[in-house]
Amino acid sequence: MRASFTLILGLPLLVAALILPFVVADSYVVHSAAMVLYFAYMASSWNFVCGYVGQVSLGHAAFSGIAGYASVLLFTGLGLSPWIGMILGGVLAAAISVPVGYATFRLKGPYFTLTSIAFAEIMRIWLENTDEFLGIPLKGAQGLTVPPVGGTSFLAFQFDGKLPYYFIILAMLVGVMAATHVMERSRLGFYLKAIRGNRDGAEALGIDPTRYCLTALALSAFLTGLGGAYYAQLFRYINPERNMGIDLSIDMAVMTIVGGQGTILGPTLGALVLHPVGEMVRASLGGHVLGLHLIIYGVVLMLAVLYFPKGIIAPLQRWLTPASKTTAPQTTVTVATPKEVEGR
Amino acid sequence: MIRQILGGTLALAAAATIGLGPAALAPAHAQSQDVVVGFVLPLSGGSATIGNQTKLGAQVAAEQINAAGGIAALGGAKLKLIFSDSQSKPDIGASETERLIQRENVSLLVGAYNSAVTFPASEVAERYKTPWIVTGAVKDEITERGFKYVFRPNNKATYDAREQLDAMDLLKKETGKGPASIGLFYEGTDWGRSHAANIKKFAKERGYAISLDESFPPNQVDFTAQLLKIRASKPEALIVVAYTPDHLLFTRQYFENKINIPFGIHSVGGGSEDPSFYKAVPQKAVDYLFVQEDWQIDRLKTDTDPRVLDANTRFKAQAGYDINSYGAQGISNVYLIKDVLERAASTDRDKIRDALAATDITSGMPLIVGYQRIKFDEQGQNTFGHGVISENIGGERRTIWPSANRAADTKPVWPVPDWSTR
Repeated sequence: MRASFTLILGLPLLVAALILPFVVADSYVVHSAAMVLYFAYMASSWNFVCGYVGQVSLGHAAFSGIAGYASVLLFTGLGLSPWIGMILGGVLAAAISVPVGYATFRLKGPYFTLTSIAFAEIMRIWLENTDEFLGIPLKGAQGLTVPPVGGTSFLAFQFDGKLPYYFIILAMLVGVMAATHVMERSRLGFYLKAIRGNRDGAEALGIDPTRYCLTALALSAFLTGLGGAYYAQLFRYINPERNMGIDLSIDMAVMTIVGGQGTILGPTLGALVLHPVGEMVRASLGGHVLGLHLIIYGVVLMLAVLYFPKGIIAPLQRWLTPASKTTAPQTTVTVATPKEVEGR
Repeated sequence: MIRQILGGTLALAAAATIGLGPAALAPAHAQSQDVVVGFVLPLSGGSATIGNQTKLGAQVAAEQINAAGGIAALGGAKLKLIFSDSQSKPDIGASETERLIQRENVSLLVGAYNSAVTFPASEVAERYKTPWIVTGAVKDEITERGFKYVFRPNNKATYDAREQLDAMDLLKKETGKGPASIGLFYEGTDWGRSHAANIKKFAKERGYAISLDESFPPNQVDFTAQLLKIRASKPEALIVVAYTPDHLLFTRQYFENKINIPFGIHSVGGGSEDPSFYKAVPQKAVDYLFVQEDWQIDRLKTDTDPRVLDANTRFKAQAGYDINSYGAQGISNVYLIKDVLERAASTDRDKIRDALAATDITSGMPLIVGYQRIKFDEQGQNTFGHGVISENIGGERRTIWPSANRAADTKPVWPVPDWSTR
């Protein structure tokens, strides 16, 4: 049922994303679209654990920053290709996430959220105030720059045009969606949903909540890390404030929640609506009426949460799936499964 | 199934209307004879005050130029300024730069105060071969990348530090007296940390001992513990790096504690450049305070150039206070653009770039900030860019360094009097 819904909406989305840069051969649009995909990717990585476990983490930016810094430092210090640095950075983020998650997943609701903020803020403040750590030049709050190699080099993750960056993040987004799809159907996915539904009940059935939440968190941290490394390569600059700061964590959470958490396409829909809204009001009002664009963004956010508490994916799903009852009656059986009706 | 996918496509079309909104937004088409200049500035968020001061300064200068007949070499073309908000975020600054170049078809760009925004945003400009004039941002590397389209009239971070010690050296030469040790008290940010590092480097070269090296996280609520450290370490001069809220708190508490620092407090701007700072502290607390900023604060008292006075009248009418450092930089940037356009006689980006590279200004409104000259080296850095250091004497901020900017009747007070005799 949900797979087919994902396909119904996802396939045209993918086709549109693939042809967009060829239809609108304007690098501003391609750049903006790449930023939408980047936020969709980051939100999907956040959703990977938070959407399914039902705990709101506002510390995910730390994983993005850790991996971003690792990939840039490995490139500038050791000359290692950012592609490898990206993976190693993701692994480092995952490794750091485990002890953090071990301590924080015992807490529920606002306590989990608060400790996740504390963790990310401690990381950010430490990084901003550390010029050198074990001989590694972190350059504190100044941030790191990626030296241009000149021209296009696939190995160095540097391209002259915007198109390669666009398709890389598109591939990454499809990847994270596929991973979410597999996870949803795996033992891990069912365990997570059971934990979300009733943690004590799940535990009584023999599911170890800490273990499965940690597994999901490590995977999520790894994916978030890849996104952070991508950002560093796209802008050739990374600093603690933007790449580890709470703004990024909030963006990830808000886009997922507005789009529909615990779904494959929800985070992408959230990014697809919110990022352009932010961009549009900024472009039309940012220079004239001070701060008004931020207020409008906030109002859109409030309306979305007010009218689509389950995310904007919910009405789309209702609208697109009744037809499936006639064409594919066998899928209606799964409609009644608890995972569809349980509260989030 | 096909019908469903069609339905999905329909839903997508609705989303696309939103998604491609910015693309569909009709760019505000300038009249063909206008020269469109894009500004990327922090207009909301933490550094919004500064962004808006630069914006106002730029608007004032454009009003003056347009009223005086525009760009003569382009048949009286008017300057049209387009402002966009970076929100102090690197990615948004880069996206806005992309938009200004692609959508608004700007001839050149100015921005972006925050070094973290300027760094990636000016790279976008370089890629599109669109000239970018740096305003406010001091990060050294901005003009050390071998770029051809990035120009910085203002000073680098290293210049700021060097100038503070230059001023001490100058006063030492004039009076034979000077500090043996310097204390550093700075916020633990990009700005504070890099400034402290530069001071340490120059202090070592010039034989000043560093008696205190103390950083603090921004937005403190109490400086008592730090003031005890300052009192205990007895620096003979203290360099302070702080934005308005911390600078205010520090100044008040320092005043209450009456700590004697014989060669004074040397602030590298930030809070002490902010007009609201002086309204919020008693005059006695800022007596003999040395301030390094990119603007000659006493210029308005001595300058007789009617354009400077007119600019100040216009600025004050909107801001409620006299031109300050960031307002002056906005004015300077726009007059620099006028000079460049007169020489380029074209709105072509490459011709403007070449004219920028050939800039050599030794008089007039572009120098309102207090420089003697604007001339860029091959990296696009104005090597004549410098700050101006003032001392608060008798309730007035008087320029004391460089000596070329010092008024004849300004007598620096050095060393500063003890609290017991004030």
